[in-house]
Amino acid sequence: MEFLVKDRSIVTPGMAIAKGPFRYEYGVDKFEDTIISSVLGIVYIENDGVKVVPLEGKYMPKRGDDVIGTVVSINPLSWDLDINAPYLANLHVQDALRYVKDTSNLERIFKVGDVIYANIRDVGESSDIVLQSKERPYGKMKWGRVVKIHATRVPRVIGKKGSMIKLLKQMTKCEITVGQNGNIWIKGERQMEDIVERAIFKIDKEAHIPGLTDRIKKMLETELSR
Amino acid sequence: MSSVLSDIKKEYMISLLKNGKREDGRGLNDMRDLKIELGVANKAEGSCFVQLGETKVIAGVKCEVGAPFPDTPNQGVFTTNAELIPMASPDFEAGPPREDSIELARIVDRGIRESGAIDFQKLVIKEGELVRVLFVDIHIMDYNGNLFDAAGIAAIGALYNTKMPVLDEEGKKTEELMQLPMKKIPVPCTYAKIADSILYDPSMEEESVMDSRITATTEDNGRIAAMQKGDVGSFKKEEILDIVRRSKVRGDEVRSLLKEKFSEMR
Amino acid sequence: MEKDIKFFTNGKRIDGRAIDELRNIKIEVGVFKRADGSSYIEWGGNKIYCAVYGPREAYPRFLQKSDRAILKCRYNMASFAVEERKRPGPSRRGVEIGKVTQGALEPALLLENFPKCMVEVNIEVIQADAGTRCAGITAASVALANAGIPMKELVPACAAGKVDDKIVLDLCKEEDNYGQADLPLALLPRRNEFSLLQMDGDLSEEQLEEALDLGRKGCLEVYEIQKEALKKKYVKEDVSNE
Repeated sequence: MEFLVKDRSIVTPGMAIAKGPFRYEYGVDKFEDTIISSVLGIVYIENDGVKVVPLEGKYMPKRGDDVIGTVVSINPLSWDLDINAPYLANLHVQDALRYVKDTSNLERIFKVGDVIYANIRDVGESSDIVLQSKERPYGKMKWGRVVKIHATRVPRVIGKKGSMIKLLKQMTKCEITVGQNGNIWIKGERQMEDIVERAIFKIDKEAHIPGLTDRIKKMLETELSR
Repeated sequence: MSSVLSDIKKEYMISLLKNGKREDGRGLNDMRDLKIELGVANKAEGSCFVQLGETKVIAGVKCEVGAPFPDTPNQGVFTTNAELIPMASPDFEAGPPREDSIELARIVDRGIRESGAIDFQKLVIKEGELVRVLFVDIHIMDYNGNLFDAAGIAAIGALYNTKMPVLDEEGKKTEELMQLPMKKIPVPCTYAKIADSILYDPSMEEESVMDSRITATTEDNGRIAAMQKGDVGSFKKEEILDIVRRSKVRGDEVRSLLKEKFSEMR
Repeated sequence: MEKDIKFFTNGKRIDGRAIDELRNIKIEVGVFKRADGSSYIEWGGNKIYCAVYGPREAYPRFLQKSDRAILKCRYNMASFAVEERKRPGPSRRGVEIGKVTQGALEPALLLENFPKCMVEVNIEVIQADAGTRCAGITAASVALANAGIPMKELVPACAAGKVDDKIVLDLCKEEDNYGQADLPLALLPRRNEFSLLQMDGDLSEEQLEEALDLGRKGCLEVYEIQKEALKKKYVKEDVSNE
C-alpha cells in the first residue's frame, strides 16, 4: 500500500490517492488497483482508510439526521420541505404533531415559508426522504434567523465533542440549532446573531485550513470587544 | 420551488426595515457595489459587463444596415432584446422570451429611446432607403435582484463603447471606425416598496417580499425619460415624487461612474 | 472552401504557434453566485461562461430515470459573439453541440447516486473564435466539479486538424475556416478513451491516427489546466483569509 497524495490535501475528481488494499469510504472510487477521488475535496487518511470530504455539493440525506427545512408546498396530507438536498423531503401530518384533530386545512398547522426543525425518519430506496417532527425539540422555528452553509462543513461548526458550538453559544449567549443539512438557526440579541453568522460563514469558508478553533475564538474576542 | 423565502427571513427583513436598515447592511438609499467593464466581447461592435452586487449582466451591440421603418424614413432602427437565460437562475427556462424578459427589454429600450440618448437621424445613410440598424442584446448571467438597473447601465455602456465602420453612400463598410452619435446618458433607478418603506436597488430577497416597484430613468439634465411601476401594488403621489427625486441623485452618481469609464476608453 | 492563405512561416502558424501548441487558456472557477457550480474560460479569442444546476428533481417528470440522474446540456451563443449577428434563441447548431456535449461529459459522471434527478449544464458563448465546443466542454467539466457532482474524472477537450497537409493542434479561426480538416475531441484521461469525436474535411487513415494522437496530447495539457484552476480556487481563498 502506498499513498500518492498528502493527508488533508486538495484533490480534484479522477486524481489518484492511493494504491493497494485500502478501506475506502465516501468521495472515492476504484480504478484498477488505484483509489481515485470522485469529487473535488480534501483527502483524509485514517489508519487503513481513506476518504475525500467534498468541498462543494448538496446535502446527502441520512436516516437519523436532524435537519432544518423550509416548507415549499402543501399536499393533501403532507408538506414538502426544501432541506438543501437534491430531493424535497416529505413530512406527513401524522408525523408532524403528536395530536392532530383536524387535517382538513394543513395550512393552519404549517404554511409555505415556515421553517421546520425535523428528524429524518427514513430515506427510501428511490431517495424519498421521510421526516418527523413530533417531539420536542422538533417543530416550527420562530423568530431568529437561518444561515446556510455546506452540509459537509457541519462537523466543523459543531467541533470536537461539541467544542466549537459551545464556544459560539457561550460567548454570544445565542440559541443555536444546527441542522446536519447545513441550515443553522440562530436566536439572540441582533448584534450577537450578526457575530454568530459571520463566525459560521468563516468556518464554512476555512473549514479545511488547520487552526480553525483558535481563529474563530480570536475573531469572536475581537468582535465582542468592539 | 427553490425560491421560497422563509417566513423567518421575511419577518427579519421587515423588522429591520422598520428601523431603516436592510439585511445586507445597506441604508434605504444605498446601491450595492457597482462594477462596469467596457469592451468585454470584441466580436460585438460595443459591449459592457455590469456587476451590481452579485447580479451580473453583459450587453452587446451589433450594427447592421437595412431599410428604415416607413413612418420614420429619416431615422435609424434600434432594437433592444433581453434574455433571461437558464444560466442565471434555477427558475429561468430556455425558449422564447417570456413576459419578464420582454418587460425588462422594453424598460431599457424606453429609457434609451425617450431620453434621446442616440441621435437617430445621424444613423441615416440614404433617407428612406438605407439606415443603420442597431441591436442591443442583454444577457443576464447571474440573477440576484434588480435586473432593470444592471441591464439599463450595461446597455448604455455598450452603446457608448460601440465602434463601427464608417459607411460610404452605398452603405459599404470602409476601413475607418466611428462611434455612435450619442447625446445623453439615461440611467434607470429601481425602488422597491416593502411594508411602506421605499428602498433603492432591491436584492433578490427584497424583490421576493416587495409589494411593488418603480423604475425611473433620468437624464443628465435631471429630466425624467421613462418610468414603470411593476408587480402588484400601488404608490402614493408623494412616494412617486420622492422616488423621482432620489433617482436624480443616484442617477447622477452612476452617470459620473459611466463618464469616468468612457473617458478611460478614449 | 480553401483560400490562398499562407498557413506556415518558418515552421510557425498564422498566430505564431508551433504545430503542437495550444492557444492560451485561462480558467476561473466559481464565477456565479446563483448556480451550484460555475466557470469561465478564455481560450484564445473564445470567452465562455458555464453554469451548473443540480442535482435536483427532474422535470418534466417523464424525463426522470429511476436508477440515475439525467444530464441536460444547453449550448448557446450570444447574438453578439460572432461577426454577423446571430438571431437570439436556439439554433440547430446549438442544439447539436448541446447533444454532443452531453455525450462527452456523461460517461465521466457518477449519476447513479441521484435517481430521478437532473443535472443541468448551461454553456454561454460571449465571444467565439474557433473551438467553442471544446472550450465549452472543458469549462463545463470544471463547473460540474465545482458543483460537487461526483465523477470518475474530469473531461478535457481539444481539437486537432489539418492545414496545408500538416496535422496541427487547436485550430485558430483562419485554420478552422480555410483548413482541410477539423477533429474536435474530448478525452477521458484515466480510461484513455475519447468521448467527443466529430470530424469534417478530408483525412487519410494515417492522418487520422496522427491527429488523434496529437489531440490526445492537447487534451492532457488542457487537463492540467483544469486541475490547477480547481485547486487555485481554494488555495487562493486560504491566503486571502490569513
